[in-house]
Amino acid sequence: MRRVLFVFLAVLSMTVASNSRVRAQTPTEPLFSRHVVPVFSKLGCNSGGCHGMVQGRGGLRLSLFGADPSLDHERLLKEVAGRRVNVLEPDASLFLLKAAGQVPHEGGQRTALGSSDYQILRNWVTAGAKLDPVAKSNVKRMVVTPASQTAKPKDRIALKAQVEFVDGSTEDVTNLCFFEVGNREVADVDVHGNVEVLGVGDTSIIVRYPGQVGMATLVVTPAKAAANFPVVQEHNFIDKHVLNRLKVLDVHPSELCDDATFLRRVTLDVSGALPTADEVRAFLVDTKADKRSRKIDELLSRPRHAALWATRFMDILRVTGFTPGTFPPNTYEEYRAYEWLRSRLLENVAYDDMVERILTATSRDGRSLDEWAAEAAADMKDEINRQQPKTYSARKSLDVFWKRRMTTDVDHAIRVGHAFLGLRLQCAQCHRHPNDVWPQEDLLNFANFFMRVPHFTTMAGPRNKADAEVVAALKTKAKDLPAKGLQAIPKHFGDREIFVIKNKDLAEKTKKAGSSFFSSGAKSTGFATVTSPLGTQSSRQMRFLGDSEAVTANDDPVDRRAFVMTWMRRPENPFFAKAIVNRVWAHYLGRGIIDPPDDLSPLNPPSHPELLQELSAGFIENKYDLRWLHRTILNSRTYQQSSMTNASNRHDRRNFASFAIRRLSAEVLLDAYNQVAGVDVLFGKDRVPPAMPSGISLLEGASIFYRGDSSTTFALNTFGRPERDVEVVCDCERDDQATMLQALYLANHPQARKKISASEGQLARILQRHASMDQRITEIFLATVSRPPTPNEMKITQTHVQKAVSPQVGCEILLWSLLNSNDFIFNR
Amino acid sequence: MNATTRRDFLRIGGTTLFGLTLPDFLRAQASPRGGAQSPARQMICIWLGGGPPHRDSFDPKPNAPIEFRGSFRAIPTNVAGIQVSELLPRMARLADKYTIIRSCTTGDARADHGKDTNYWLTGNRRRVPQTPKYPTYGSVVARSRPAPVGVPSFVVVGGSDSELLMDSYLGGGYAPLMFSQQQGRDLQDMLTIPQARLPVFNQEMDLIRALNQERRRIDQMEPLLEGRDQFQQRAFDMLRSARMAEALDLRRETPRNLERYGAVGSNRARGGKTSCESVLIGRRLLEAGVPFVHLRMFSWDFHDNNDDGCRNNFPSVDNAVASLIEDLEQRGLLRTTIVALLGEMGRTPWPQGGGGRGSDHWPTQFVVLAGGGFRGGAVVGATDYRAAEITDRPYRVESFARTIYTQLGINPDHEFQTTDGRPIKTIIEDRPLIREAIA
Repeated sequence: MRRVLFVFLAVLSMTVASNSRVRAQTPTEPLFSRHVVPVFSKLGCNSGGCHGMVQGRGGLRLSLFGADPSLDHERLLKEVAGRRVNVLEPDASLFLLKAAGQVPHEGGQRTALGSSDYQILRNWVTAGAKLDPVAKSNVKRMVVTPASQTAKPKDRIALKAQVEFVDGSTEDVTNLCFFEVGNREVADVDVHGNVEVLGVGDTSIIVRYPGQVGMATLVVTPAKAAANFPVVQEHNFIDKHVLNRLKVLDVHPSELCDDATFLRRVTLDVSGALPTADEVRAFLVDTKADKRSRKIDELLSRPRHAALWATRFMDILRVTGFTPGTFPPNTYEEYRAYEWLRSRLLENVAYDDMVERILTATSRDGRSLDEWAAEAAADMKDEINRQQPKTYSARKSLDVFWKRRMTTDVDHAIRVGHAFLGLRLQCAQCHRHPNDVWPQEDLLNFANFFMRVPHFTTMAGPRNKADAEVVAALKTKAKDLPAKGLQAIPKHFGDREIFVIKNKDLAEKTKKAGSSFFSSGAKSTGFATVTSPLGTQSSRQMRFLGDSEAVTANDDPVDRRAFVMTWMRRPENPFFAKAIVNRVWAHYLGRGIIDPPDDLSPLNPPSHPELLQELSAGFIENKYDLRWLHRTILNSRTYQQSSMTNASNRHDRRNFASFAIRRLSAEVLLDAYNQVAGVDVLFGKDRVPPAMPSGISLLEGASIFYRGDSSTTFALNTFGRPERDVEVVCDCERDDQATMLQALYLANHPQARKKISASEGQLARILQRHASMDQRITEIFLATVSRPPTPNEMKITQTHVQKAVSPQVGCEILLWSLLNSNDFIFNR
Repeated sequence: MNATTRRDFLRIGGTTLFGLTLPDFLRAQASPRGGAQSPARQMICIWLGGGPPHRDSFDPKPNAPIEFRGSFRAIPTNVAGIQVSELLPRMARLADKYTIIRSCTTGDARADHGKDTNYWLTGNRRRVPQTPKYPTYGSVVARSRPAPVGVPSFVVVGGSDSELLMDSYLGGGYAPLMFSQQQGRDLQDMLTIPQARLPVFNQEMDLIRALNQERRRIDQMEPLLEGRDQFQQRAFDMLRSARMAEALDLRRETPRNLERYGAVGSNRARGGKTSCESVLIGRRLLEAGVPFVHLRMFSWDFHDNNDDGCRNNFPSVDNAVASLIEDLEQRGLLRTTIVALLGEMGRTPWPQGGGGRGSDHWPTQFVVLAGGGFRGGAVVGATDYRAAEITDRPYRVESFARTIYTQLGINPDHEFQTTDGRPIKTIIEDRPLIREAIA
């Protein structure tokens, strides 16, 4: 699915070769909209890289992916003096000569003379090159058969695509579709929809016809029945689903991991820290059968678990981009959001309630102006006194979420879609994405729920009486602030209030605030609008994604965001619960049941649909209890498998047959480094930012203040801490790649080096406390890789350490080696 | 299922800041490399951010009416018919080494620093927010070329324009190694193993290798771990070879050279030391084999006082860039190295703002290109009598970008996959190459 155009080329070269397997009839009187445009799409003529480009290519411009057949027809017939289409002598039509490579064509030969595609284009010319009534050819639905199929290698399956048009007519469009296999190790497909099964596994096959996308799924089982599938103990329903699939594929799961590996893995994954040497020892001698479950429960209640997920939610929500144009950016707003999220996670607030308090946030939370102003003043005092945002974190709703840039209309619909529904709607701003199902209309209809959430701005002074009242109230409550704080009220504090505006005020507000208020073309109408190089579109309807009925709402001051919340809470909502369940799963298992985890497009099917269904249903049944979700996944055998693979699962990634090794994330890795070295963030030249308690770890500080030029910033960036750019709509911003710069940092950055030999650090303590070298070696192993050395490792280490000029240097060499080892950098 | 594994492998192991990767076959299929023999193998971009006055440098108008002529004389160069400003005497003697383009522009009448910088440094105009961020030339080079041994693919000297240079749809693996003022010392130390520490470093490497080997006896060859082992080995090699550390160490330059570049001596201008030193470091990085160097000289947004700004900045540019071209030529590197000197816009060739002494943003500007297969002693395009409007051979930024990539042997039409899996062309708009500039 990812490599649309590479696949394109591969398939195109086959177009020329495999005419012999044409199945459906070539229409003798093809319609422009139903046949000719689809052929353009299939051959790639109207793709974004060719004539579908905004300015066209080689003088010919077609609408992107054939979105506008009438325009395409006009351009094809009327431009370049009509030379493109020659009704009297069809074969001399320039567009046919180009497509068939008869005359030089920058795009090369796209089809062969006499092929069915060529024949369709030619027949259309012969019949007069007419434009049919385009509206009749809008597709109502598409049916791909067989929709799902189980097969064995070397099987052949003929896919069939049938569409129903709005005028009620149906047609077999198999030959007009573009087919694409998701996993090309499993199957291949030709231009006529003939699937050739190649290997064991599963895949989707995307079928595209202009304006419509369909999908078929395929599971391929081994030719011979599984013989010696190992007997494994299921821990819970998760394992049932995973093992069922593995049995079908005859892929054997890995063993359960050992206790030391489990402890390190789960401590890092749940609390973002390493277990201490004492914890490792205690866990290894514990003989009770339920020790893993008990450890999971204990870890879930640690404050660092809340800190870890507050950090994750900061990544997902991207609470950045405040007060544009001010420098330095207001990172205290980020800190407010982080602390608010951390507090909710510590309380283990139900996920749907937490989202409601974010999504429908207002500043006053239903209180009087006076009450709110008092809170705002106390909150401002926290900021000015450089304290943690304790007032803010006790608030009911997270209103700073709405104080970012891009919090109205289409921009925010895209952000809400990504954060809470796991959808990528941004392509629909300009065009219908070839691999997605959202037309612009859906995005615009959804955006209309987010049109009435202004935050009033007094950057240039209060605009009206109501604004002036707010400023006055704030000033009264903030009387005891230093003069600096009072002065800041109209300038910075004035843009504090998030509230829902009435329809009749919206137009006026919009007119006054002008372009700064709405980010796109909604200025004149107050309805969702997108403007792109492909034109401007607007809609006045409100409709939920995937729903067919529009929502009507005339009751004026009602917060329409609440409708979205109600819709998300419907148990049958296809995205809301699944999005978070899938993200939590991906956090623990290294990839989503739907992967990438933030792409819940109906065309990106889950690897284990029943598992995702049952987990989501269980999550809803347990009242959206996040800890239930974490606990259920962590207790599964699937999570507790070894990362060591066997002959049958070595290449598996999709089916969770072994534990997926991954690099520690930036904050976790650097905190772990400090933990091992026994130093805190304050070490050396680095400073804890104002407003944070000294000794705070990077994870607990959400790493948000480190944006300047310190070695901590450098380290965080090197290990892929995300900017959380409000413009980016993708979980992929956090980078977990392994790079050479990271290897250099760990090997030789002066700051990292100094920590190892810090006089107040852990190594100094070990040297002091333990006299024998064997003990010292064991302690260093326990502290870094959370396990004692194997006898062989002990022997190797002893030999090397002896060569050092002193025991101290010997131990430093060992600590350095382990901190640079894969066992430290990866969670496995 | 192999493809998935390979792709994961590629994702973890195949991309890196230092362009250093696992075996090249893994990405050969997606490589945008053009012909094997390209004129340019390296490039240095000297960025004059803020909008340097074109009229007072590479597009002088000595015969313009007095109100448009400016304060500086035009002087002849070593190429008949080409004149530059008197502020650039050394560049004037090297005019046979470079092309001056006077007709390439963003076409942005409002001349916005942010948008135009983005446009020039990526070759693409970003029209719709929240669409993928285009990569700058250095990141594309890092992505397209096999990594050099022992040095990074893309280095930025100085920390400016960092966000723009760091973030792109190619992902963090192709971001530059950035030497900011504050980090400079630490990074230099990071790349250096002092002589006295070498014995201990060797012991460290022996132990980690022995432990890794022991570990691998138990583990199977997990590709991800294997990949990291290779990075680590290359990192250790780099530390021991010290090529990067030496390249960054200006103490290895003679005082005479520091003076030639304008970094010391009488011609040391306000802010000039840092800027001139960056150019010298840039030359040393090119010599060490770094494929792409980006650096910034000064700030050029002369709203308050155009002439003072010119007097302060241009002499340093003249010294540093002329020395760079001379040195690259003398070392035989100029032939295969593009030297680009430009900013994101020009300035009004008449006083505007600053109480009649300032100059304002203006979309007409200059670009100077030397080496790497570009012509020497050429001028492309022309402006009107007062250097305001382009009158000959108008080009847009895409033409510049496409020409640069073509010279570097990178196909500007190559389609990359963004980090979120969307296909996108290196240079989106199809515009003609600036053939007049190519030798």
